[in-house]
Amino acid sequence: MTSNSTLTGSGGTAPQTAVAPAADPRSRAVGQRRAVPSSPPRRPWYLRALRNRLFGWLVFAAALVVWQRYATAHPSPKYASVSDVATDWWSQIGSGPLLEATLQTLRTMMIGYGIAAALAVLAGVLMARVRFIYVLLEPPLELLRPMPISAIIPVLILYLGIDDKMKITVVAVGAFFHILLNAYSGAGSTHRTMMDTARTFGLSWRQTMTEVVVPAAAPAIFVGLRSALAASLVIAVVVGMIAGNDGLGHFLMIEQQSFQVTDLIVGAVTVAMLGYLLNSAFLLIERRVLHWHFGATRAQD
Amino acid sequence: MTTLTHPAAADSVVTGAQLVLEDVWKVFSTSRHDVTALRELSLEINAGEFVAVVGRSGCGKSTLLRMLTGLIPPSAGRITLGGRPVDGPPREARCVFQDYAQSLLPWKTVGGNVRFGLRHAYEPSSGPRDELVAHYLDLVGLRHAADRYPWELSGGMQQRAAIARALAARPRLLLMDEAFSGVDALSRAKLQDVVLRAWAEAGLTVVFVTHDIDEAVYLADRIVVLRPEGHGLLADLRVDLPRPRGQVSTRELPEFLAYRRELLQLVLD
Repeated sequence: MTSNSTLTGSGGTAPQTAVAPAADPRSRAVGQRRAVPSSPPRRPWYLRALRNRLFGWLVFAAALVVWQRYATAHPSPKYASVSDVATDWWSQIGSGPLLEATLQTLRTMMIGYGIAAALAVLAGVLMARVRFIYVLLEPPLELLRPMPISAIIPVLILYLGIDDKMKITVVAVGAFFHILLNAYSGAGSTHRTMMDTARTFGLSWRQTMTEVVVPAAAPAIFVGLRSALAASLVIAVVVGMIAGNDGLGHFLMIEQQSFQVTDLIVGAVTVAMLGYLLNSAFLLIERRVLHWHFGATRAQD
Repeated sequence: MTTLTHPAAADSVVTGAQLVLEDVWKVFSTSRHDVTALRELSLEINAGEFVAVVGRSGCGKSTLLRMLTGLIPPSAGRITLGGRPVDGPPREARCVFQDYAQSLLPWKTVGGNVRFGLRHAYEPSSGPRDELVAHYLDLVGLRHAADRYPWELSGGMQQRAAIARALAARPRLLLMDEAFSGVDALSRAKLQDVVLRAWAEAGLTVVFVTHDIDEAVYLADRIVVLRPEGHGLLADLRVDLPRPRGQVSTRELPEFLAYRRELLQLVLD
């Protein structure tokens, strides 16, 4: 307030402004500097830690430690310690039944998934763009879609046996609908201006599909491909359990029935890691193929 | 109706196509009632002419342009391009849409989009593709952006890319549907000059729909004014301003201002 009184003094009879600090050029400068939007005040360290991704991993590691302690403190055939599972996994994954089962499941899954992807993208795009195909395929697909995949396994076993042919078919059927629905909606929602562009540039129907409709639908198709990938793994494992002759599902059932708890958990961990790796690989490919889509989405924000 | 002049054919080397509309109507039918978007329009657009179509919103100018692109058929009447009836998108026409963000292919770079125009051309260009791409990008001043994606660019630059893509197809008729209304005023001036230069070089026929009177006077040889609510032709005005036109010099000519006044009175009355 001292500067304020100086101002009044120099101004003599000048009327005093109601908001005194604003009248002082220096205090206004300070006020402006304060008003500049800056990052919010730093949170205390424990709140910051809760927002760090590392936090989740630490909790996970702590859970492993608790598990390890509990298993070693209560020796029982029902519990396997973390260290036993880890060493067992390491010694088994390189060769033998576990590796064989893993490769078998991966093979079944990838072939089925690949077939589903090709057919579902084709069917989805055609249904979205050709009225005749839509009226032809919509009723049977709509009836089959709500059917749980587990319900058709016995039927397929009856007709296809319990070998690869059946397993691949089950995976393909299960993955198909995830991709179909997304491909259909993606291919059906190409922007009108983009379709008009294709028409005015004289693209044939086929060129319009391959050069405009499918690339424009790619982000939607990838959403379907990703959920189908997760479903494929589940189905590939389960179908191995039901058919009971090979793959990780079969491995898990054998270990469970023979009460090999460590090996059972080793098998479960392998499935989990397979899922994680497949998803990571998928995201990597998606980033590459759809980099334009992610870029365009960011640019709009 | 103030003036109805039939301009003489342009005297430069012209490769553009002649466009003839005879008593064209467009009626959109809904379940409740019919909406007449355009009635009784007859026009003759000469090869190589630059024609602007103006009018209030709802006058049917965009409907007219969509019919010229062949994307929608007229309900009655006839449209012919170079003597052949327009019953689908004509091979020799290309359109620059207002919504450039949905017209450029976002998964292709700017160069890739121009390549698309070259591949789907009315008249294929000869020579190495890369040089052709560079040529058309030069024409719109976008050579430096060849490897960038449309969504990385400003609106004005995206529309320039769309123009380069259309020109790369070497059309005889260039249709522009309020193509510049989505960009800022300065980019707009630049785009206008890009189109004028391309038109002068290629000898195209251009039909340019706009709601901007100044833009129409600045660009066109001839301005077609439509009556409100699809009631057809109000005026067909020849613009006799010297070419090449300049953003500053042309716009301060007394004749420019006179055309502008005349058109504004026509449109606003």
